[in-house]
Amino acid sequence: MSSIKSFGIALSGVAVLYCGSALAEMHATEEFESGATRPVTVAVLPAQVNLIKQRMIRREAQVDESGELEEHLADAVAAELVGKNYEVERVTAQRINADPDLQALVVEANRRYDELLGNISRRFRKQIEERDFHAGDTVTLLANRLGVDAIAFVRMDLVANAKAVQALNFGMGGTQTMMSVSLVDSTTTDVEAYITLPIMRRGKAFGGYDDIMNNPDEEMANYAAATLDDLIEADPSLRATTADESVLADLEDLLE
Amino acid sequence: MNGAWQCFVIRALILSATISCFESAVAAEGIYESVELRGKEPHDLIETAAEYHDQFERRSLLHSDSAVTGLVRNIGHALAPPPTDDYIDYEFFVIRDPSPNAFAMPNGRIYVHTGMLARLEDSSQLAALLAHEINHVAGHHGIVQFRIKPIDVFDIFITGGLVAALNQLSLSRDLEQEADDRAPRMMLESGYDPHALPELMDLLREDFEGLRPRVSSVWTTHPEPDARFAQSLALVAAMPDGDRDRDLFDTVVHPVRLMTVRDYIRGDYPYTAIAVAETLLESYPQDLELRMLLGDAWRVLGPRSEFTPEDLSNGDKRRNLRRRMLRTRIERTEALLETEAGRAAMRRNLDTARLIYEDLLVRDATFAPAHRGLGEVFDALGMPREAARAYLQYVKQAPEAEDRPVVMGRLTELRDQLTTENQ
Repeated sequence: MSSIKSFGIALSGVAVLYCGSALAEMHATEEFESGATRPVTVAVLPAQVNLIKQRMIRREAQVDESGELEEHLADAVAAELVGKNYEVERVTAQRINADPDLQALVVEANRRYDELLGNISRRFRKQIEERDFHAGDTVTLLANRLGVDAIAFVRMDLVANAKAVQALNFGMGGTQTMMSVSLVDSTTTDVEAYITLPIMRRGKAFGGYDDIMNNPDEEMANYAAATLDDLIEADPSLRATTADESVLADLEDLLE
Repeated sequence: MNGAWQCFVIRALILSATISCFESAVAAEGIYESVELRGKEPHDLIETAAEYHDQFERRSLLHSDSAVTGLVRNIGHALAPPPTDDYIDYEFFVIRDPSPNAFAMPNGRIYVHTGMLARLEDSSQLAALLAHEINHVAGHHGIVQFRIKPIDVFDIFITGGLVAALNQLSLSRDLEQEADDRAPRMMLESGYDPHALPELMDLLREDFEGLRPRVSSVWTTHPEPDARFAQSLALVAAMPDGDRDRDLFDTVVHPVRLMTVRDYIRGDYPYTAIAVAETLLESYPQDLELRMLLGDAWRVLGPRSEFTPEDLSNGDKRRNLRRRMLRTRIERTEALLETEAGRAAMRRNLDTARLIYEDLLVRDATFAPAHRGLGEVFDALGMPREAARAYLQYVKQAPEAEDRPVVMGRLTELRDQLTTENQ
């Protein structure tokens, strides 16, 4: 029995280490790392936050508060990207809702991205390298409309402890926090880089429910900084660009 | 655990289950009079419902076409009874989502998915859907379900909430049935045809993708679809006919149908896209855009084979669902292309798409999107020269097309491929 227990404990340890490495930090394609598909200009779509308040015996979804955090988080991610030399277009919900064509593209792009996020699984690094996360033509259309090289999708699931729970947990604020930022390239339409909040930075480093809601801009800035810390800086000199006219002329020649 | 303690737990479990079942049997109905909210209900139900509406807006999910929202709103208001409480204010919205669904909030806000609208045929079918949802609000179903009974709290400690959860599901099914049962009378009073209700239930049984395995109704929030259809059919059998108003409905909803078929194609639901597009083409045989979408749907079908619902066992549907959840589209396609059947299906489906695109050019030689479709087909068949020619034709005929950057991306790849081949 004790050997089975030991085996179980060892297996759990390996699983935790595996999950940690699978979910932590930045995963990117070779071309992103070399710079060929690393964007210069990025559109940050409205962030999607699901905030849950952990009370003593139950959890409560905080819909309105999630909305407040979404604003702060998108701003914080945009600021982090600017800090890494990306040119950023922060796209607000008001702007999207005022333009039905833009709205259709954003809704479709988000739906497609969420489908990919649902598929993200074991073998994650391999899947990114093999370009299995293909977000479809909508991303090209959306990026073209916004005049950018890539679209940034920002997601956060945050279970924040109420004061009483925080007190019981030796001051730990957030639990089971998961934040991710994906950069989807307008040309390849693949997820070129997927950056998550590293597993060791989740949880106690951040405030509880009250801390977050009393100081949302600072808390979201902390999360964004901890997540995007490993993102490579933009380098316009490395990104491949091609003019339409030269492609069309080359093809006319090739087909003659 | 000693014997006495085990015995106590088993007895408590049986007691909990028995009382819960009894309770659900006697309490599974809505309240159609005024209901005073108590405790945290104003916040947890009414304010939260309003917050969800704001979230739909923040996430840009509300469909803004005024003709479509106006149609839904007019039919909804014609059906809705006077509110019994000041926290109920009937209002109707359309959500941009291709899944055939609708839902109601306890504050009277009712949401219809574009994918549901697209599948309906006339105003009475929409009235049947809205009457069902209105009954959820009028019967205070959300509040009835929200109120935790003392026995459920007891059950959390005894079974970890299993019996309470089963009890909730049973209650949910009863309330769904009640909303169905009361819908025809509401429709009749407003002049709509109650026979549209079983048609709606029939539509909800459709599973073109083979992704909905049967689940024991003990675990579902809604009654079993076949039983629901049969029940609604019996319910309206003796009722008189009513107004259908198909022409106005068609005019307003047609753009939503095209958008939804496009959403099915982009969302990788090609069987549904084909079924809906083929049905629509019977009414709109001259609609080139619709025909183009049909070609796109066959193209996107890729290496998947045609099937009829009878071809699939419940296990097949479960496997389909699991694959869809765990694998990306690229992984699923690659797995099918490893088989001879998959490769043959791919050739067949692309051939069907090609014939549709060529037929479009016979009908109208200036219809540029058909060239883009042909380019996609040749690209998928591994014919780069033919693909490049078709794409070039498209770019020439439609230089300002919205999807030009997509096509230019393909042309860039083809140029690189052909250059390498020439070397």
